[in-house]
Amino acid sequence: MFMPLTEDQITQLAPDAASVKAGQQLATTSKWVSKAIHEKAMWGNCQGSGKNPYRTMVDLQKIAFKCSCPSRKFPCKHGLGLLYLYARASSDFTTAAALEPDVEEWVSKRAAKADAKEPKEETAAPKKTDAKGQEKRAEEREKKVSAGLEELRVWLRDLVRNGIHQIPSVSPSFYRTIAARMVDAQVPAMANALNRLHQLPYHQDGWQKPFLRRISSLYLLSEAYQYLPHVPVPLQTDIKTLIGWNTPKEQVLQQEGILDAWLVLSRELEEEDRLTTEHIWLVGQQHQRFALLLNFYPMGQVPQFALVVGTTITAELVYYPSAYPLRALVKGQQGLQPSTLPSAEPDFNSVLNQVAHALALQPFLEQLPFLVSEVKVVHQKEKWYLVDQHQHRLPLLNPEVEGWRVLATSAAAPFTAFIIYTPDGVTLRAYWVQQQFYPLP
Amino acid sequence: MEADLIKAAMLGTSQYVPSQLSPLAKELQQTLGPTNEDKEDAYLKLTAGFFLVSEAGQQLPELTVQLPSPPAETRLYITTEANALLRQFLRHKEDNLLEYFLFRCVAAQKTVLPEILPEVLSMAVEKKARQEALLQISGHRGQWLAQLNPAWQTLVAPEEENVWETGTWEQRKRYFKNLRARQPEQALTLLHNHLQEENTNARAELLELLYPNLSLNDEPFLTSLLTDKSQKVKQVVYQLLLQLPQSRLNQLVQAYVKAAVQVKEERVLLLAKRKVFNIHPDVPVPEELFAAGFEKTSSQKNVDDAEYWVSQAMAYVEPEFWQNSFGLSLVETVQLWANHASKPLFLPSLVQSAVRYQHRELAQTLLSKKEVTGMELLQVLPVAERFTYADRFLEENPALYLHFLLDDTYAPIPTKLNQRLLQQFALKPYALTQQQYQRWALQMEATMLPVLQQYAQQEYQEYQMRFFRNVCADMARVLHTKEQLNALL
Repeated sequence: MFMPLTEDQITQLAPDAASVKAGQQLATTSKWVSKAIHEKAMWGNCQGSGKNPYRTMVDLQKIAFKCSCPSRKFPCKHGLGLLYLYARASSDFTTAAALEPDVEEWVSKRAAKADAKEPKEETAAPKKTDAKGQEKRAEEREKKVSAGLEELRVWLRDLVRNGIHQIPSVSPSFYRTIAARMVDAQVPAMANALNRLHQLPYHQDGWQKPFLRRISSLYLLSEAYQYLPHVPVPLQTDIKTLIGWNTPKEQVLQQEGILDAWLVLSRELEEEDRLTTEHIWLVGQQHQRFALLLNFYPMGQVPQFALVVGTTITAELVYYPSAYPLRALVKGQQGLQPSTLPSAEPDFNSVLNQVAHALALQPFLEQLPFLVSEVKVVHQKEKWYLVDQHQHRLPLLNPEVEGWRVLATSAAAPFTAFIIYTPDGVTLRAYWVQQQFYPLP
Repeated sequence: MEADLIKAAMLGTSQYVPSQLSPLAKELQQTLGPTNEDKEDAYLKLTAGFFLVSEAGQQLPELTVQLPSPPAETRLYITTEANALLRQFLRHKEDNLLEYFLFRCVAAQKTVLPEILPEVLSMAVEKKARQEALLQISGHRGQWLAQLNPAWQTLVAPEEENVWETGTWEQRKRYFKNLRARQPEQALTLLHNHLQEENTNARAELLELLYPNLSLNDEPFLTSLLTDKSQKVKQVVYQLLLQLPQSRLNQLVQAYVKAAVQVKEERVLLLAKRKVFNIHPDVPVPEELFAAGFEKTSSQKNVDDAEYWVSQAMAYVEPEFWQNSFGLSLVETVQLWANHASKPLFLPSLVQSAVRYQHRELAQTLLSKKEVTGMELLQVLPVAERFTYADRFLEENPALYLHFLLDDTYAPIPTKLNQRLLQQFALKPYALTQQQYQRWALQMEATMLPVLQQYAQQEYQEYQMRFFRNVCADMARVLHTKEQLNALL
């Protein structure tokens, strides 16, 4: 069943702002020689600058685009324009009883590809491996990692011995040297964590606390690695992941997943060092579990999409091994379905209890997702807070304009919120006012 | 404890080590003790443990703020589709479509959805010209929200009493303009008391704001300003007094015209008689009119001085003057001046008079004469009537003619007229800017869509025509968007 996308949802699919503008400008019937919709797809012919119109198709079951235009953007403005036009004037579309041959061919190929991929991933036989070589390489890496982490520990100890008062004025190169050493030592995640230290808000009072929290946590992580065999197995995986070991996707996909109706709560793109990371948070409506999908795109590669915020997909998700599993992969997706308001924590005490529980299992967690009901936004002394029904407050880390937007839509009344908790405060990613879903970009 | 940890970090553990540990920290230190390598190692592990323990057991502060709820909306909300279009116009700075949206939304007495209020209110602060409409479509929720944000409070806060003394120049002008519209007498008193405290340019600008509600009550004050030391201010004052019907200066003008112009009868072909205007060359122009800006001689060759003075004066007499002074109807007046040998001098003065006093009948009479070239007369006529002058003006200057067809009510321009205009602009596509083309599209009817599409789909080799093709494609988009808005609002 196709759930029509709103303009905001379509905008999320665009690769950049220029594509949004161009797509919206194509959302006029005058541009389209023909346009039709079927429950599986929509398609149309858009008159461009050339003699022949461009053939544009959108797979509505698992959002995907195809267009005959030469654009290297994906989706191109024609695909977006077709969706925008449907959002604005669905009655202008011809409802087709059957797919046109070329659309049928494309949709079928996509379905066949997806079907072929699933069993392959599930039943993939383990590759023939050079066990000895692998063991040797692992040993070498562990040696490098241990040496690198020892170097980091010395660096951190020197830092606190000499005092951190000069930190706000140091240049990024202060961290770059030690981060480069971490890359050499094959602990890239630690290198990223060190580089991120420069991004803390040093112009604000109280910068010392988040800085200390981060460097002491890095130190604790290096300590934990030294005692790795003594920690519980799930936590061992977390520690290794945080240091820089990757768990292969194929290995994760071999596990049994959780089939549920997953509500897509938020999607965020984060750019760092020529790498774009896409964070997609989901919550399962039946199992009430959160899941984080992470996608990585090197510079120049346009983020893909399959999930639109506010929609609910029926899918099987499989979690990466962890003491507190959150990161997941989509193993199989079946289609879209109507969204309902998920159940939520009643107040911040409940949230904090779960934070304590989570930290007990995995003390290096930096962020945790929660749904919490009966909260309000409050603006006081130029700061925004989220306040629960018992008047307990947490700092709201969203940009100021989003605070005003939430206040405008909620009219100072309590609402249900999807928040990302961090030790510094919470970020509101989406909320519901009278059952209406509002995502925040 | 936290402060102690931070103190140690700031000074460096070589200088200071946390000494006064809380019971919890002591417990942590004892647990971690056996693994400690040195005091920095101990400090970092203690700090990490402390932050984890603090976070796991944190007590949140309370914040009790009772914000009053916004009043319920009395107007209907626009649809989500209309809201999405508004967002598109705001995001992509589509000013023409935004203006049209405001026009439709205000007319439909609807309110925008709350999620877009931050952008709407921010624009209301930035764009004073749109402020009223933007506030209107913001509804009660917008007013409520604006009160809460210092950046938007100026939108709803009652104008402070001392805004005249302490506001910015723009705020002060706005305050004075509003006061003049609501209470002309009070505005006059305000100027009377404070005008001399302003610099020359400010004095001139404030006086110009008197024009829309000019009345004889203003005359004494304006007359008193004729001694102002600034020539610029004096010229503004003279202009106001000259065009104020029945002011002493205006009466001086009328008296001069009445004395200098005579209606005489002359024979035509020895049989018939006809009336003609005759200019009496010996009637002197009051010196005050020269002080008010009248020129003594024309810059053009072969223009008689007396005729030139009369023509200048005619621009300041009300159209009724001719009936009252000479018993001539407007048709007769225009005809007589059109018969005059120096009609190129006199007819433009009548055009100025018609425009200045917004006299529709005089404008129509003048437009009925082929000799009259003033396209500005169209602005005196209702929009629908302007369309009927296409044959007269369209080919002469299509851009200027179109300018007079575009109005604030978005009155649709007849399709045939649009087609004729398009044909003209296809020959000179750069006569209008892209913004002007878009604005024009908003006064087209849907029947123009196929016409625009036809232009948009043609293949052209010349770069000018390729530009025009793109322009037509864009106009089609704007027109289609307008139709979408009409269906939604």
